[in-house]
Amino acid sequence: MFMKRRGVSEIISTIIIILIVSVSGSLLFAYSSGFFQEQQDTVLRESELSVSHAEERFRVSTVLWNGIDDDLNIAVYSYGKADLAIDDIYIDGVRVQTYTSGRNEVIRTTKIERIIFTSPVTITMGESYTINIVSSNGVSEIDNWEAE
Amino acid sequence: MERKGVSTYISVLLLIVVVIAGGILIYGYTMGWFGRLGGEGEMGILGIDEVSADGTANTVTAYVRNLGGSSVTIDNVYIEGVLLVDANTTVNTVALTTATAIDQSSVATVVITKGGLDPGTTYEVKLVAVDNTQLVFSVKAD
Repeated sequence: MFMKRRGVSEIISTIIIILIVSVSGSLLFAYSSGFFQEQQDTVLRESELSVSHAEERFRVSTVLWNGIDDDLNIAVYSYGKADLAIDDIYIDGVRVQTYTSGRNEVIRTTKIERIIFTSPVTITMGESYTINIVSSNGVSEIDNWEAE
Repeated sequence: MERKGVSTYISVLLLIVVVIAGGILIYGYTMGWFGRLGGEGEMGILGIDEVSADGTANTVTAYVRNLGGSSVTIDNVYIEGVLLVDANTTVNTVALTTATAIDQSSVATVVITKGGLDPGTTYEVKLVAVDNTQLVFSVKAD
C-alpha cells in the first residue's frame, strides 16, 4: 500500500530553526553579559580601591588624654589627594566600640578633624599604646602613643 | 485561474522581521529569568584592619573589612595550608557552621581557635569565602 508522506514546509522549518537560534542566542547573551558584568564590576571596584589607597594619606597629629578615664581625643591630619573618613580605630589591636564624635565624618585634604572615643583598653599613665586608624576604604595608619 | 503568492524576497524579509521581533520579545521576557545566570554576583574584596594571635589562648583574632560591592560569607579557614573544622572559627561570635555574611563596607571579628600556636612563630592564615573571595595574611603569635 502506497502512503504519501508529507513534511513541514520550508517556511515553517525556517521559522523553527531561526526561533531555536534566537532563543539560544538570547540565553547565551544573558548568561555571558551577567558574567562579564560581574567581572567588570569587581575590576572596577579594585581599581577604585587602588586609587583611594594611593591618594588617601593621613596621620595622627595629636592625641589628647585627660588623665582620668579612658576617653581619647585624636586629631587626624589629611595630607593626601583625596578626602577620607575614619571608619575604625584599634587600640593595641582591640577595636574601639564607643565613639563620641568624628567617626565617618569627611576629612578634607589638608584639614584636621578630631575623633573622640572611649578606649577599649585601660589607659595608664606612662604606658605606650599602638593606635591603628583605618579609613572607610581600608587604608590604615599606625601610631605609637605614650600616655602622659 | 492562476494564483500568485508573495515573492521569495518579500517572504524572506517578512520572516526576518517576524523573527527579529520575536527574538526581542523572547529576550525581554527571559532576561527576568536568566539575566543573573552568570553568577551570584560580583566577587567580594576583603581587607584586614587588624590581626593578632594569642599563643596562650591559642586564638587568632582578625578584624576583616568587606571592601567589595557585595556581601561575603566565609566558608573555609586554613592555617599553614591546613583546613580547620568550621566549629573552630567564629564570625561575629557565630560559628562557621552557620553561614554568616559580612555585609558590604562592614567589619567582622573573626576568631580562629587552633591548638599548638607557638609564641614567636608566624603563621599564614587564609580565609576563603563561598564566592571564592580569598584573603591571606600572616600573623605572629604573642
